[in-house]
Amino acid sequence: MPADSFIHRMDPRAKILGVIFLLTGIFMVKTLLMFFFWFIILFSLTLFSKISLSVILRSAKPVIILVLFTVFIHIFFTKGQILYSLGFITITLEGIQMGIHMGLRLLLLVLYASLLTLTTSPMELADGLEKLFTPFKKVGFPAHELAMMMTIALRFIPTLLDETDRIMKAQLARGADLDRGSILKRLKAFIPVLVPLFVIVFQRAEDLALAMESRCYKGGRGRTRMNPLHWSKGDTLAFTATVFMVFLIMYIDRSLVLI
Amino acid sequence: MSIEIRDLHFVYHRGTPLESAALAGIDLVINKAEWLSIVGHTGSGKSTLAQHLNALLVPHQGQVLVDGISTSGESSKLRNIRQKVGLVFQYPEQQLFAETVYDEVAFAPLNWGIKAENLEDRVSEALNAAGLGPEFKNRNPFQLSGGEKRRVAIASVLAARPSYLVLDEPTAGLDSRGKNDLLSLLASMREEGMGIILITHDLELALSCSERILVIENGKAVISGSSEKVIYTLGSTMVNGLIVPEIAKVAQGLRNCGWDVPLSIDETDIAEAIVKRVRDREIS
Repeated sequence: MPADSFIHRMDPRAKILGVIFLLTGIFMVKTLLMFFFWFIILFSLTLFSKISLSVILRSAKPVIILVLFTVFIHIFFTKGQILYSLGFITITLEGIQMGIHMGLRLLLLVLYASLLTLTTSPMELADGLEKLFTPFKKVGFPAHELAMMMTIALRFIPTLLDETDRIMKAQLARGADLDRGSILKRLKAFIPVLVPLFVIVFQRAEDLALAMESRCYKGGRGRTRMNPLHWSKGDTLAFTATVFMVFLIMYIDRSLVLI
Repeated sequence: MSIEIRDLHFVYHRGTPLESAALAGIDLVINKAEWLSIVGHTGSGKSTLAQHLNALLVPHQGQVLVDGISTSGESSKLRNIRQKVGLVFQYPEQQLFAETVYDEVAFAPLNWGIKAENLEDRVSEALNAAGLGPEFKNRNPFQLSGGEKRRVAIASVLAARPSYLVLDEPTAGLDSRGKNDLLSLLASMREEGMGIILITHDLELALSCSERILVIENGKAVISGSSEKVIYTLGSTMVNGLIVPEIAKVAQGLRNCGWDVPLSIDETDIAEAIVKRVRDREIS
């Protein structure tokens, strides 16, 4: 999302590490009150990042079904103190509690992750990940290659969507029937779209490889960056604050559980 | 029988910040069995217009009627329209998917529910029309040359026996021989009564083969009429990105000096007119 705020300008490494800490924090929490706190923190961070709240909330839309599914699975299949039972369906107190906790966890997970992706460009994200994984290069982990693959994949998503649209239209014009009949029939109807698409993907990959090689691309070794990442004081501050917040909330949570 | 376009408007990404008008009020009637070329610069809306002709896109305002059936109507009628109006996309060889040329060309007739006993004839006829011999039937389309692939793709559209054939930049990437072969193929389809609608950025190509030309710019029709009218109008108006052939510029220039030369891109016609004028002067 094009906007300018402190969160947008943060070093992607600080953001990625921060989010990882936040997510572990979210998975440790066991009381409703603390979940509520995590939501308050999310909303204030959103406000701070100048992204409208509705954009963040909309990003949770695709996973809503998954969340509900998880909630119901927990409600119906957790053993414990029986509240209500009908035939083979039993609802337990523990089930409801677990269901709500799991649902909230998943929701928070998605929302925090989308806060990260909405304030960080894919390029920055890939750069950040590459830098973070650099220490593992010693044990043979291909950090640069993975980051490059991620960047390329993200770059080609819109292009491939365009191509798919074009091929679909070309087959529709030849009388293909893509949206009628049983699932099996529809899958079969998609073969005339998928085959040309694969051909195009391989062609593009070949072209890209050739273009990269003709500009002397040889992988990550000795490669300099156009925009080197810069870890500023603000990043240290924000990261420390995040870690502190996670431990604080976990501490309060533990004490609440013990009471 | 004709395709009628009335006050056609179309907007991409409607209702988003990326909104951009592609067509802004096009009026056009395309008669059956005429060769119309639609000429415009990149982004002028010509490909968008092409996709309206067989209901792949539906107007946001206005109407497109194909032989009296509106493309904005029920979806069950859309297939009918698509059968009548064949559309050959730009780089149609990218749509190939079958294992043999026969299967590829049979795809459209099978989709339109042709009887099995007629299928073989249909395929042979389409291959023949596209200038491919029967020996191609069992070959793998992916192993053909670029020009042959394009012929297969065009045959696969012809096999549905459309009343109108719309082609979006069909000569892109072909060498001059491939281009001439394709144009003569289209001319013979035209002779047999098929309406040809050629979409191109190449004004010279359009001038050389069509009966009528529509020049569009920014989604609006700016010139419509015969080759002579288009050359005449372009003598006084500029259309963004349109390259006027050198020979047409010569004709325009001579006429501005009061010489009576034809508005054509045929070098012989113009040369003859010049020679005649010079001879007449010598005699007087």
